[in-house]
This record gives sequence, C-alpha cells and structure tokens, in this order.
Amino acid sequence: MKKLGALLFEAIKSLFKKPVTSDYPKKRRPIHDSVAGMIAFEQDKCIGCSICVRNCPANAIKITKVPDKEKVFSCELSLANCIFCSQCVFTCPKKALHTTDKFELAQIDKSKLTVKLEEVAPYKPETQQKPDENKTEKVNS
Amino acid sequence: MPKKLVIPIGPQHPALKEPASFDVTLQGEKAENILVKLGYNHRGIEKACETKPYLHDSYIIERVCGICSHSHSTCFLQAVEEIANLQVPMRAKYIRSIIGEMERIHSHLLWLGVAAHEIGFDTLLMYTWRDREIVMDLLALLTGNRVNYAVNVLGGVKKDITEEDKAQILKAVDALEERTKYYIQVCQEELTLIKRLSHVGYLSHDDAVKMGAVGPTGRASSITRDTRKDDPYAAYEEVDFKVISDDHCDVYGRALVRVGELMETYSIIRQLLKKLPATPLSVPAPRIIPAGEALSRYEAPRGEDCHYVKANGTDKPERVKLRAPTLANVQAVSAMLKKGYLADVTIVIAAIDPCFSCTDRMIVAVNDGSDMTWGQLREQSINWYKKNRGVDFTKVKLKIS
Repeated sequence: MKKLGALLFEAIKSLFKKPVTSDYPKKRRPIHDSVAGMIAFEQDKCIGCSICVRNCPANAIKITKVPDKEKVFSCELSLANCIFCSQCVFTCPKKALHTTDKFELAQIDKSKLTVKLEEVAPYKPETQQKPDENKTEKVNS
Repeated sequence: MPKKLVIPIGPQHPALKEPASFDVTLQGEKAENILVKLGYNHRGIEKACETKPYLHDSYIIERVCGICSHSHSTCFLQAVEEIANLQVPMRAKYIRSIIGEMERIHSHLLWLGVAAHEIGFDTLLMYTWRDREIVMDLLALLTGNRVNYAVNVLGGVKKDITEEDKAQILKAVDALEERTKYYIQVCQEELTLIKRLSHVGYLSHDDAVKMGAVGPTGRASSITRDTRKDDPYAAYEEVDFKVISDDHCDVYGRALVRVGELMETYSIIRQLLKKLPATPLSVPAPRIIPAGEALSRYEAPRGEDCHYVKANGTDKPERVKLRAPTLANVQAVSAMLKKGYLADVTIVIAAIDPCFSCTDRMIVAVNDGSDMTWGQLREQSINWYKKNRGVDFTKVKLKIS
C-alpha cells in the first residue's frame, strides 16, 4: 500500500530512545579484544630474524641488536607509518609480536611517534585483557 | 530557441563525494548532453604495485577503495594465486566470502543512506547509517579493523572465525535482517521516495547491455548477471542464492535491487557459517611467483571488478591492471541523464554508487583543444629525454601511423 509518511511511526518511536552516539571521550564504547591497535613486543622471544621488517608493507618496524647484550633485540615502531595490518604479528615465527587494543595514538610532537616497543608496549598477557579500564574511570571522575 | 547553458558539476561540488566532473548542457530545465570527465583521483596505484613485492601489493590494492577494500584485495590475490597455482584452503575461501558479504551489507546500507540524502530524505540516511554500525562493529570484531580489514594474505586468510564469533555474527545478521525488511517496506510504501525515484535516470535494457552496465545498475535494467553465479569464486559454488534483478530500469529499481540483495546476503552468510569447514587457514606462499598471467573477476558491491596480473618470475609483478565497476557504469550516466531534469543529476550520479578513486587509473590530458598527434607526442618525449636524461632517441626509427 503506497502512503505518505511510512517512516513517521518509526521517527516518533526514536524520540523516546537513547542516543546511539556516545559522549566520547567521557564515555567510551567497549572495544573488542581483536581490535588491531598498537603492536606489543615480547623481547625474550625475539630471535632477530627480521622477517617482520621484510614483510612490513609500510616500512614501520625496525629490529636492532641491543649493544653489549647477547641475543637481545630491540624493536622500533613508527606509529606514523604503521597501517595496523598486523602482517608482522602473522608472520613472526616465534610469536613475539601481538596486537593490543590501544588505538588512541595521535601525538602533537612528531618525534614521539617513533617508539621503542620494549619500553612503551612490553607484552604482558595478564594485563592485556582490559588495559583501558582504569583510564576510562579516571576520565569519568 | 532558448540559449543553451553548460553547467559544470564538479570537480568540487557539494553533491559529489569525490572529485569528478560532469558538464551538463541544458536546454531549458532539461539536460541535453552530459560530458563525463574523470582523472582527478589518479594515485598511480598500478605503477606502485610494479615496484613492490606481491605481499606488499595486496595492501596497496586494498587501499584502492575504502568501501570495497576486501573486494579489490581478494580479486588481486585470486589472480596471483592462480598464477602461482596455490590451493587456497576451503576455510579461507569461506572466510573471504563471509567478509565479502559483510562488505556488501555495509556498502548497500551506505548507498541507501547516500541516495536518501541526495533526495533530501535525511531521516532515512540517519537510520540506515545507524544500522550500518552493526555490521561495522562485526567487521571490527572479526578482522580488527573497520575499513581496511587486512584479512587476506597470499594463500589464505589471517584471521579465523571462532564459535563465539559465529554466535555474534548470527545475532547481528538477525538484527540487520529485521531492519532490512523494514527498509524494503519503506521502499515499497513511502510515497515521497517512490515519486522521487521513479522514472528518474531511465536506462533501458538494450542501453544497459550496450553501455556494459554491471552490478546493481545493470541488474536494475533486468540484466541477470552476477559474477558470483556466472563464474563462482571463493565459496560461492557451495551456497544457494538468487540473483536479484528488476525491470524498473530507473533509480527506484536500483534501490529495490540493492535492498533485495541485502536479504540474499544474510541468507548467504548463514549458509556459509553453517558449512564452515575445518581446514587450515592458509598455505605457505612463495615470495617469487612464476611467470604467467591471470585475469580474476569478483562481484564487488558495486558490480564486477576485474584484475589482470602479469608475473615475470620475480617477486614483483610486471603489470597490474584494475577495472573497477564504476568505470563500466559511468558510461551509462550520460544515457541515463538524457532528457532528464537538472535537479535529477545528483541522484542519478549517486545511483550508480560511483567510486572515482577506484576508477581513476590513468591521467586524462585536459588541454586547450589542440590535440597532439602521435608524431608530436614522440617529438615531445625525445626532447624530454634529451633534456632530463641526456639520452638521444632521434636515431631510433619507429613507424608512426
């Protein structure tokens, strides 16, 4: 049946619904654990094979040997270059790289975009579950 | 006789989401002729692919388009896998199809919103885009990203679908199906929508065939052609679905085809999830691909996408050629707009769901009307090389007709 105002009932119903948009950054929507955010690095597992460096489509990752230490490698990530494709995580033969749900990575200072992952994002399995929870509470209070 | 007026729409225009130029020649209120000019979005993607290894190319190709990113990357990798004779595991094919269908849902819902916005029906835009968030969240859950999913690798996929994910997908698909049923009802009942879209942008069946219209644009002119059915790729051989077509031949028909396709998409996702086989996710892929060439076809949300890849036995392709669906459909726009009103131009352009960043694969020299002959072009190139590279090509003899 063709009629005018077929959406009218739906529109009136919507007046009594909560807004779909959230009051970011005061309130944050829960994000999935699978979100491909910043990479976390497990220094103990890295063998310095540099497969991640070769496979990175954006030249964002660098593996260097830590001087004066035997078989210890440092991982440098350029957040400005990284496209968050998690190709490095997929190809790492020792599973030393992991994705985290950190996604608020913008910086005003350009030099802060290049980070040493073992300092900024060392992989800790027990804290990887809900890293943003404390932050959210702080912002709300 | 009234004076003819040429109105330029674009390259920058509020109604266009991307730069493209349409010069509309008016006779009174009606469009007499329309000149389509493309090439404002050229990014040199094909050339960039020739300079990078295959693995990196799949990520470059994914960035051809923001909406059908998975379509392009799957289409490209299918071609490379064919050359390398890689047997992609069935589970990977299923996951590629599921993500591809989700992409279709988000693209069609996005189109419905954009089309509603172009005709000033912004309430529908808000509702469709709100519901699109359901599928965007689902894509973020499955792949980790909302737009460029990066789920494909050469020889398979990176991310798996777990049992928990399956339950979430089915729940979301149920919610989306209910909403889509409502949109179908709106499309069939709402008088303003029907009156505004009917007999606008008419493209007859014969014209659609002649112009080579693909995807929903062609199917709305009763061309029952769908690559998923005609040349099944990924896991589409294993599922049962209908090719939705319509005989309205106008923008209203295109809207009906798209909402109809959404219903088929939900059924495809359910079937794929039910049959999801337990095989590995990917096979190891070589870095060096043997020499050969392949053409791959893929039914992107906007229509048939073609990728041609030529390998020369190294880790980089020799040639990559893309034919995005908009390039096939944009020819038909001038036929649709003939004898149409100026006010219809924006909705008719929007009705083919144009993506100019997909389409622009070459630079069109817009000159002052003095076309160059092959001889002049050669002379210019000889001078350029002499000046910039210090090489003299004058002695090389070529037959130029």
